[in-house]
Amino acid sequence: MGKIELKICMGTMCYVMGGAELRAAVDSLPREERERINVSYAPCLGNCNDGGEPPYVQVNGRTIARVSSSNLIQILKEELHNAL
Amino acid sequence: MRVNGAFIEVDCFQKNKGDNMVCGDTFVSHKFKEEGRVISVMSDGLGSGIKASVLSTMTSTMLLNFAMMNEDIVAAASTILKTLPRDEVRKISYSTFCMCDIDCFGNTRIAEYETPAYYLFREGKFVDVPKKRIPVERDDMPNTALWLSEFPMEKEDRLIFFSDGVSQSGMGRRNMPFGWENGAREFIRECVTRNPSVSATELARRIVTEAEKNDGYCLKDDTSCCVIYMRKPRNLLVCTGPPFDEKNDANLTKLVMEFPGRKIICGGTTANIVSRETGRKITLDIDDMDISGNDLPPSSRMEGIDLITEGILTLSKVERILSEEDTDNHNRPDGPAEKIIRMLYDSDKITFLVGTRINIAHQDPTLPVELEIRRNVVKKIKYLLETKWLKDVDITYI
Ligand code: FES
Repeated sequence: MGKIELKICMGTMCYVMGGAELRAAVDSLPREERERINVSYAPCLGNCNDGGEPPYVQVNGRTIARVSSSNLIQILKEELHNAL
Repeated sequence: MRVNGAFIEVDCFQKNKGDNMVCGDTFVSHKFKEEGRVISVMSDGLGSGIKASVLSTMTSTMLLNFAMMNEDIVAAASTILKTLPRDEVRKISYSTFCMCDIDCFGNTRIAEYETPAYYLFREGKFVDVPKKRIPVERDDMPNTALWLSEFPMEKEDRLIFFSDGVSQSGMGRRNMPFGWENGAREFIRECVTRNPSVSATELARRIVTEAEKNDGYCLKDDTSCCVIYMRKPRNLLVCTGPPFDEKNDANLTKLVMEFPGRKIICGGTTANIVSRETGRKITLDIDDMDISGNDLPPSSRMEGIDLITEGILTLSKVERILSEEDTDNHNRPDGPAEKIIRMLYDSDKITFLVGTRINIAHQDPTLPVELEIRRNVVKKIKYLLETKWLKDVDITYI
């Protein structure tokens, strides 16, 4: 079973726009799913300059804008499914 | 404050008698940045409680004000001494004091009136400084006099002043029937031998805590200790914000990496620049997020940098903590802002390297929190550090 790389941005813009809650959302996944996700954090993914659509995450290297807890869970579930 | 490359660290630690609400001893200090001069005054009011506190506050602040008006300390001290009220029952003056004036060359003058003799600790030994008796005329109190000492302070010297709460602590106990005067010398020698760079703050705190122990953890008098330490400055750099011109990224990194002292980077973009330019990896300390009550993004680490934090939210919190009444509260959870506070506290000379590129998005009024402008926050922090903790602070913009 493949693993998924998730990088959550912890920079100012992403943090205030909801990035702070994403970690808890990932942790709320059932254990077998959570264990297949490698979570790392970035000081700033570099997309926020002069606007952008924070918060940002990267899933397997793909940058995703305007992430909320619910759509992150959905994206992760899809990726987990694809990686099976 | 620096004298011939050395820094004068001044701090005082106090504890009140028993469970009194106020301290009857007062300590005030002022540094004249332009002149490189530091004046410190400690006064002990007769008795304890509010009355003692009012008396010692008046004595010390008036002495300091006189000295600030460039009055010679002997003249200032004599004037105060002539006017100090006298306790009719005990026939002694209402307060005692000790005043110390150090100029930019380290020339030191100390005027003492009835406080326990100060100590000068130099190269592992106590130095006896000859003192001159200066009589002050008072009809109601014959033999009133000041003691004046004059000497140059040298690098690594420590001056230690205390109220009689320290020297008389433990008095009457079998192992120190006459109090702690000699014991205190031994204690200081031991503290400094064990930790030769012990800060003024720490040494003062230890002395008062030990005095409290001598009194069985219930002090019999207000107890204060002031330490003045002439030492090599502890430098700290706080780098925050990307440079206005991207061409300066390399320059910023060079300034950070070559800085002689400890280094903090506040800001993700700034940290990324330094990481990119040096090829060093950043690792986030995600455990920081688990600290209860912490409302900031976690800090991170990079080889060669002592601390990396998020930028504006963290700096704003640092400013908030510094402007609180009780900044020295040590019971806060240990989040990124508290780590910065601790490092600021433990430094003498602090340089802010502020990048001036602005992220316009930060000023978007629809953001759920208001993000302050970096420059303004840094300016406020500088003011607070200078006035509250007497730090030497510089800001460089890039
Ligand atoms: S703060 Fe997330 S991309 Fe910059």
